[in-house]
Amino acid sequence: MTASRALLFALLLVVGLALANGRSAGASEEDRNFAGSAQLDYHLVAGGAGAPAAPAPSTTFEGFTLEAALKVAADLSDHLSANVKVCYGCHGFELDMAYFDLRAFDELNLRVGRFSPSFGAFNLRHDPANHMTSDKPLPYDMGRMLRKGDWNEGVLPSPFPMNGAEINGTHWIGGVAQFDYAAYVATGFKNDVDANPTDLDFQESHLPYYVTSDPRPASGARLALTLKAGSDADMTLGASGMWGTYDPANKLTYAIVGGDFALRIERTAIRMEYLVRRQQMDVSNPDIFRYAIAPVDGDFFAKHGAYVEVEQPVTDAFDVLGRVDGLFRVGNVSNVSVGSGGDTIVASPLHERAALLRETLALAYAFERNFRLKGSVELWEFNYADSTGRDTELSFHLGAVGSF
Amino acid sequence: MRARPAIHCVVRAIAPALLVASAAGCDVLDPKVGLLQESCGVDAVAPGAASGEYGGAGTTTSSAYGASSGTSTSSTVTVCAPDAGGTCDECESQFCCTTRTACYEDPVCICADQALERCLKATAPGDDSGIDACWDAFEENGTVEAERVACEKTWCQGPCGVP
Amino acid sequence: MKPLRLAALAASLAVLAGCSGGRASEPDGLQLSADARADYYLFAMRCSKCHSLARPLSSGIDDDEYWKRYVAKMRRQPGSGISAEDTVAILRFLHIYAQDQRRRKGKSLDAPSPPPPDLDASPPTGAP
Repeated sequence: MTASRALLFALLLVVGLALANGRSAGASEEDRNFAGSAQLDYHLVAGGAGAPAAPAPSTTFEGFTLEAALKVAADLSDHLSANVKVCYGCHGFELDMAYFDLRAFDELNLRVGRFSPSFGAFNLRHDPANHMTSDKPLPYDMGRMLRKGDWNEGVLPSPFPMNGAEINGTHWIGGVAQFDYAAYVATGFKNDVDANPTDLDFQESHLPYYVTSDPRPASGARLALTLKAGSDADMTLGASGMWGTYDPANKLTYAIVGGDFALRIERTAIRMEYLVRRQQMDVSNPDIFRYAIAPVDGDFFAKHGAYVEVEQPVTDAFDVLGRVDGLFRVGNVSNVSVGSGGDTIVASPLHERAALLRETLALAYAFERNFRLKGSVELWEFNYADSTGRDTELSFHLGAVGSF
Repeated sequence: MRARPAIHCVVRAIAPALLVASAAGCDVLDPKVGLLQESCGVDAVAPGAASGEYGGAGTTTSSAYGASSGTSTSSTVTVCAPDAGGTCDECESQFCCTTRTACYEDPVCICADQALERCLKATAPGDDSGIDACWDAFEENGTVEAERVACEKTWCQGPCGVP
Repeated sequence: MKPLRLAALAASLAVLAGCSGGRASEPDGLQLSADARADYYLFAMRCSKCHSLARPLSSGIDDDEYWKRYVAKMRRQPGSGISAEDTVAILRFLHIYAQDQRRRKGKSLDAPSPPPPDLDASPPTGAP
């Protein structure tokens, strides 16, 4: 975008906001709303770290984990609101949200600050109080998947808060269709640690120091259409994309594209999403790779992820969820663990075409409206064996989540 | 309903673009990899070992460059006995023994060497650009490969057909 | 074995999906008329898409004007599926619920019922 076009766009935005302000009925009394949640989960892997000749425990988190969050939303006027959300999890305290929304009208809203940019459908429900399982679908997994060290998490671990600005809006078409759109620029992901970066360092991206050596922001957009069929059913179809560079030299790119579909019939929800990340790697040091570098198309890998789930309330307090999800990674493999700085070389167990399929059956029971027990059993199938020769795993979750 | 015509237009507009994008996208999401580097076993380059008998994927039965029958890998002066492989082998044994040995003892270079051999076999005789591409890929693979190519260019360009 | 397992999972989920689980019963034992129950059902449908019903029902909000702004805010969330017509029924139920909340807290019940949003005029969100 040239400087003159950027200036014209900014001018139009200011004029639009000023006009909207002039039409408002006057600033309302400031409203504040507090909300929060906490989930304690116990994860057990049959034949896991406690079993003889088990794989390294650092590749899977077992035992208790806690995720807690506190959110404050303040409506400062008819057009200005603020949201702050602090989370506590495996990394300690983090700022999940700290942004202002400046809304001219429903079709034009400017969000500035720290937030998870619009991508996919799941991230809106990433709070543990908002979904029925203790963990997330594999494409969005952050830290709970088995062999997470091998895979370096999912495709787009959720949440993914970034510092930036987003323009979004929603428009209703005839009362039966809702069209949502968003476009943003934000800090994106980074890997400033490794000498030869080959993948995003999600841990580094979420921990202080929040600024990045790479000054070029990531950008992306989302479009979605929701169609209503009476009062009992609706359907949403969406597409998302994100692009950025992640190395300090601004040369290695990543691109994430996704599609999502959700169908709701009465209280039955069917959801599915597909994501793929194309990740460029620094191949200047061929010795760190498991395979020789192909001269053409050898400098990137692609990681695909998808899930389909059905959620069904059986009674007012009892919900059942079934999910099938998986990851598929194709491309060369680095033997250097992401974020290790490049000093540690341990032969990666991944193949050039590594795959993982998981089947989950989950139950949730609400003792009280705001307190729920969650339990799930997961069957994991890998297309490669670990150091003990296992390619199939069974894991269990038992958790409790409260919200207010 | 008013929404229906609008939706039809949107679908008609997007569908062709999606088809084209998915065809193009397959290439964009289809990375290539070379040989499994572990499979180009280091044990195959022990002194006196026969050439080309490597374990794992991507094995070849012989190397165009012959085996090293030299001495310790830590020595900077390696003696290569000429073998009957051809004029290229003899030239390399005489003038580029050290760089050839270094390549065979390097797990990355030895795989690249096999890849070069396959590439040259697959290239039609007289296809100069194809031959250039094979050697360029080998040379750019790493410093050990580049040193070997540099020596061959200096001493054995003709016998070994190095561009 | 794997296709059989997947088929069994899909079949059991299909059976469960057929068991609609019934419509959500009234919250906190609130007695609702037939019309109000229909409003509550729409509220339960729309307002449990992205979070549980616990979020709105336990928010402590007992002011009709606040609900009007809050529902407008939720309506703007991507994929909410809350149309302007839905807003009328949802706010009708929330007015009854807010009255009940005020009664439980010992507050005055004198707050009048807010007029339903005028669908022919600009939407309550301030759009031009």
